[in-house]
Amino acid sequence: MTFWIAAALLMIFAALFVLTPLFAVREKAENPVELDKAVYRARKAEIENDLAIGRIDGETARAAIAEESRKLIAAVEQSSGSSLPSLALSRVIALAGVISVPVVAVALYLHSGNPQMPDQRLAARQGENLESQRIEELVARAEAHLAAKPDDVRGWQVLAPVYSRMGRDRESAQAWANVLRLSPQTPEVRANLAESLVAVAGGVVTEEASRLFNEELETNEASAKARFYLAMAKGQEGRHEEAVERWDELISGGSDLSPWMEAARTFREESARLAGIAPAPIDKPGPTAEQVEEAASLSAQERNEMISSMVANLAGRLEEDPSDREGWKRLVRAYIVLGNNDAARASAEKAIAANAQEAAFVAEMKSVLGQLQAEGSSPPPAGEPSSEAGSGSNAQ
Amino acid sequence: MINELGHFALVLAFALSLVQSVVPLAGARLGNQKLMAVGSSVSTGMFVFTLLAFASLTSAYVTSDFSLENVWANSHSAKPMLYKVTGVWGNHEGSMLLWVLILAFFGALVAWFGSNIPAQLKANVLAVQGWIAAAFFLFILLTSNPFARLSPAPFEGNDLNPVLQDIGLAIHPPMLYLGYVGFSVTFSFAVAAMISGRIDAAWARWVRPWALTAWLFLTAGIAMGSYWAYYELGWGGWWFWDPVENASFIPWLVGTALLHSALVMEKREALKIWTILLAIITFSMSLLGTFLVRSGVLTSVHAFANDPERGVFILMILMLFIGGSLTLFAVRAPLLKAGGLFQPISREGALVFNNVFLTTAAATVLVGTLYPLVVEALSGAKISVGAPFFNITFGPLMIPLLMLVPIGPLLSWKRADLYPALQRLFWVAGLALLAVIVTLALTSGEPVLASLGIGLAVWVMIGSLAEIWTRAGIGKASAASTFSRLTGLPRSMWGTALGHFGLGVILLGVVTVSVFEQESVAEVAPGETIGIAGYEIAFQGMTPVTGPNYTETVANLSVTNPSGGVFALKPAKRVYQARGMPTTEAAIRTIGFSQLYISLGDVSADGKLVIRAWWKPLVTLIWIGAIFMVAGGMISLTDRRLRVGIARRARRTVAGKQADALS
Repeated sequence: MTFWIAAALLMIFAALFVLTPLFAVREKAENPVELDKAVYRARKAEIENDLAIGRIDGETARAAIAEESRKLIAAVEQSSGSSLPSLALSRVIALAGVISVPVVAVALYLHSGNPQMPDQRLAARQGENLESQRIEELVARAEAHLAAKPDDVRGWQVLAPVYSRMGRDRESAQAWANVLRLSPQTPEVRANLAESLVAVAGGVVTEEASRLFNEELETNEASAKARFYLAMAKGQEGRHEEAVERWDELISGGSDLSPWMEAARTFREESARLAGIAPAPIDKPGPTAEQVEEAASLSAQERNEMISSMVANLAGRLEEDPSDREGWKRLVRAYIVLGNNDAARASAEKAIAANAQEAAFVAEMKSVLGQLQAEGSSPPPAGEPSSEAGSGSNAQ
Repeated sequence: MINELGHFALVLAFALSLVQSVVPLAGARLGNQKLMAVGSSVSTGMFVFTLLAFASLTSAYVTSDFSLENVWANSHSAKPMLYKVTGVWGNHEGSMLLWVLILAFFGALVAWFGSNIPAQLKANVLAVQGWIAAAFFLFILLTSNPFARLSPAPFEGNDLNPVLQDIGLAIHPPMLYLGYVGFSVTFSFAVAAMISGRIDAAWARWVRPWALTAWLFLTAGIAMGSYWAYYELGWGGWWFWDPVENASFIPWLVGTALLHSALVMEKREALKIWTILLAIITFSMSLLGTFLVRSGVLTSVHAFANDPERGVFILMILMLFIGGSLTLFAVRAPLLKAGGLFQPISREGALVFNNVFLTTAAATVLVGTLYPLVVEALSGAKISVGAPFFNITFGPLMIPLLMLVPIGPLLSWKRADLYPALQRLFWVAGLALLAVIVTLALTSGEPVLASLGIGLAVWVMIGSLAEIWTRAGIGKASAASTFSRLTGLPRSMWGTALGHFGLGVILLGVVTVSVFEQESVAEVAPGETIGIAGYEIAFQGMTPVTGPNYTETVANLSVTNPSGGVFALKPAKRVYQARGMPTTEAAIRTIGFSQLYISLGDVSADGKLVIRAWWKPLVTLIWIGAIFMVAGGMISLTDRRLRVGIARRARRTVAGKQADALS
């Protein structure tokens, strides 16, 4: 809005340049003959001056002045009397001139301008992004260190995931490639390199990435990351039935708490749909599409509030119907994600108490309790696919 | 918001240019004073709003606002402040904005200082300025908008081309543009005169200062551009016959002819058709230069054909203005009343000779510049027309012209005798001959042409002063009366003399540096020396240095001159980080009017360095001469009197003869 107020002021200022002479200038008949006479007088004065300082003699001066006089007569004869101005037409032209300024300006500006877009001066932006500034600085320092000591495996290993998180996938791949070169035995290195390559390729599991994932599986059969991406690769190749098999295999091997589980289920369903297989039998009333969309458009704080209220709803429902085992699993996971381990532990204990007859469920919950007690908190297990890559892979 | 307001101001300036194109013209047609007065007021407004837009873009550069695509593409937060500012016009969009800013500035100048111009003429002139401005504003807004935004804004910019990060660039393009665009005023005067059908000495009196002003800036701009290329590009050449240079040189040649022609018209009302046509051609050549430099057609005709939006737009502007004004000329020129008559041997005749040679020279350069483009467009072959072509075509055209330079001003108006004028130049010719003989003797007669060239330079230099010499009666009258006559001479005469003298100085520099230049290239290890023209250059080693946005390796050279004195020179090789682009920083030492020029080649694996050293005798005269020319122009510009050319009368008296000798 402030922009349009300022723009309007500018427009008024511009229109004044057109309007002022229309009101301020008085119509006075200019006689072109007068100007010719003025020129004649000035030129005559020049000649007389030359005569006075002795550059020419009287005879020459007289001849020159006579020549000037002839020119004046010719000029006066040539200039015709000025016609009477047509006032009506003049007014139309003046009006059109004044109106055209804002009309042309606004039309053209709306065509190419961005009235809502604020300035983004670098100094102001640096204040806002202190944290990213700091990370960039640290990265720069690490880069300088590695430029001097390019054989520091540990350095590359630390830097690679940071690059990933900054969206600098190409550099990340380079860094993992260095780790692989210097220490081929590092666990998950091939899978990590391949994951970066997938990100570079815009989510496509390339042939090279596939090869690396398969190599990873040769030494580390449990690598969820490798299996995840290889399943995705099948889907991308259009072999949806094989993809579903691989997804099922992966899903059955993991728990609900695996960070890749959601993505894997989505992919599994997508592949199943494309292959014409019935959807997975798991029935899970999760957040509706609108809720997810809403959450995405909220600020971090609002989102946390929204999630908290959804968690509270779920907890309330489970109080009424404690036999909903899937519900309990989701609640426990939600508490872990929110960082509220005490609530997670309490919920897990309640779930065990309410479903003591379900041995498999009790065992699963107990393992979660064991993990919670062991760690105190619950960071995502190492070697799992990161969420960016998961979402990037949707671009198939 | 400042960015968007800048954009809006630019759009408003365009809207005002439309008003300026139509309203004053209609006013002049209808005889309505108010509508005519809108022209002056709106041209001020157009300048104000273009200035606002320019200031807003500059502020975005200074504060590194990378949300503007133009800033992101051409700036960098670590760039020194000076280059952040000069970077505004170091790119296509920004330089076009500067172009229209200067155009609007000249329009406003006409409005402010044109109170003595007849209202109708002034209204027509401003309307024509309005057409040019509207065309270029539209060009900027539709194809080269500097206010295009980027979202999200990147955190760092691409930096300015390192070659352009130099103080030379800070001044030289604005100077050139002041010249190019200044000629738009004479163009507008010519078109306006053809619209109203009235052209006389008074018209020329208003045109002359504008032609002179534009010429001044163009001269200064070309000279600075030449010096910039000389020290920044590291090849040691001062003129490359490069299409970009030619693009500024062609308008200069035609503009020089225009300047002389306008003078004849003011003094004698002769050469009307010449003056009008030259005014049209000069600005057309400026537009053509803008097209060549800005459309990208020079880099590759095919790249231009693949992305033709900008080029085609400028081409349309070119056709509209050149075609339109020439059509108008064809229709209206026959109606112009013939001006003063003159005989072939007269001051007017000499100036026609001057015009013919200058325009022919301009045509030659134009052909050499456009020929490669035509060939590439037709056959796809890339050829380049270089110095040899220009040396054998342009050079010979200049020789008769230069020989005439001292004679012309000594001829009288309307009719003249060649002999008395030549008689007064006998001693100058003698000095020139002496210079030839001395050069031949000193150089053991090797390049005969060079000594003739030096003789010609002496002829032009001393001959230019001959008019002042004889008018002041030096050697004939007493010292006191000589002094009073000297101070009484019109400043325009001093201007002419200085301008022509500068031409001779340039010629002297050009001839000596082309013939007597010495070059020495050697690969040296630290501790070794190379010699050139009696100077011993010792290479002492390399030092790495870190600048604000570049790193460089400086070679430490210790130079011993022929008389044993020692000084240090530090040429360097730079790498600009953002673009990873290497440049060579030459080291130059001026000794008298000559220069020792050293630039660095590659460093070999074993630490040896290639050093190129040139000895350039009297090279600075090339630019000093240009300074003389500019000074002459400025002095002439301060002389606000009308120029009246008093004709020599046919009838002879004894007194008349004496007067003739002095007039």
